[in-house]
Amino acid sequence: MTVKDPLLVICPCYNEERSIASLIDALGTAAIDADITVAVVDDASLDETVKEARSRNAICLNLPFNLGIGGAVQTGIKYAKQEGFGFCIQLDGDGQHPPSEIQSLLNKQRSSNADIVIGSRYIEGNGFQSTVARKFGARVIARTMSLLFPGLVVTDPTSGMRLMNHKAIDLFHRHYPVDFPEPVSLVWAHRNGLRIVEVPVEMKRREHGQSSIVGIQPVLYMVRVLSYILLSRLRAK
Amino acid sequence: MEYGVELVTITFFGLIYLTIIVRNINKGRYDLYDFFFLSSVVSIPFVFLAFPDLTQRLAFRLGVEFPFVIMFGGIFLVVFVYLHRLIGIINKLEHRVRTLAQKAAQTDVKIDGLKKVDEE
Repeated sequence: MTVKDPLLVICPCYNEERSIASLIDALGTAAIDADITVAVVDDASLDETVKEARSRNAICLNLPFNLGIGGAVQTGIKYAKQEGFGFCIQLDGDGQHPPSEIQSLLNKQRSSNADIVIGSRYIEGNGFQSTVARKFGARVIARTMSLLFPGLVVTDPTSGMRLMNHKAIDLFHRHYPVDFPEPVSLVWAHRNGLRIVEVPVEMKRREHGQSSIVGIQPVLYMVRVLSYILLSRLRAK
Repeated sequence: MEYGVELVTITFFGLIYLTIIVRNINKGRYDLYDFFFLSSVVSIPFVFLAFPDLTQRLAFRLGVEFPFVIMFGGIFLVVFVYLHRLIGIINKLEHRVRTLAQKAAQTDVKIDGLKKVDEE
């Protein structure tokens, strides 16, 4: 990637009216040596997310009904493909992924020429680390992935902060997992010969609202993700 | 064994059920494939009741004591195959609907862009 290459920032949102405006503002002021375009993918929010995003002149991809995070992210990737972006980065609309960390991912991509660069919160252990249950779950998922897919080594398989190059865009605009897209997409990418690296980032606690995965759900989430990963081992590329 | 009353009952309810299926085919809700599978719920028991000797011989060959066990097994198999077909169709439809929604969102942005150019 060269300086000032066009980079599409994909912000999938569902009811993020309270955080999306400040996120777009932060993207505008962050020190990023790329020509960024912000695309907010509104997953049929029930609040004023679209209005807030439009007030900041962001491109708004409004889904007519809720597709989930996988469908929303793929919409952004399809837009990147359609508009000819060579790179895109996923940044969740809840404010957990600080725009100031985007430059770290860009630097890593430049030095390693990787196809996917993941912002991992667990490499250095700084910033918001999520709950103990989720961290444990992420570790189990990461270990399982490396066992089933030799060469696929990640510390934060559930991180939604990831930079993708044209190869990844080419793959994912055609096929992107609907369920548990973050870990499963890494498996698909690895199976298709894409190079995946990580870089440490500091994430923030979500600004507003609360996670939908609470209580015993992280455990159930982990079991279901592991089943999907196992299924990915069996299916054709 | 006398199957007279059972046969009449099955035939009676079977005809009502088949009429409902045919009406739905006429309304375009089911196709011929659906008719084949749904009608087996009636046709399989009918065959078993209408041809008792055949079913007894079949049960003997398969080592099953009661013919109705084979009958329910047959119905279950048909329903199972139908379910597999439906799952495949639903997954395909889901993919198509998702793609359509994504395309709609992309087209909206294009239209917005064209409107802005028009206004300028």
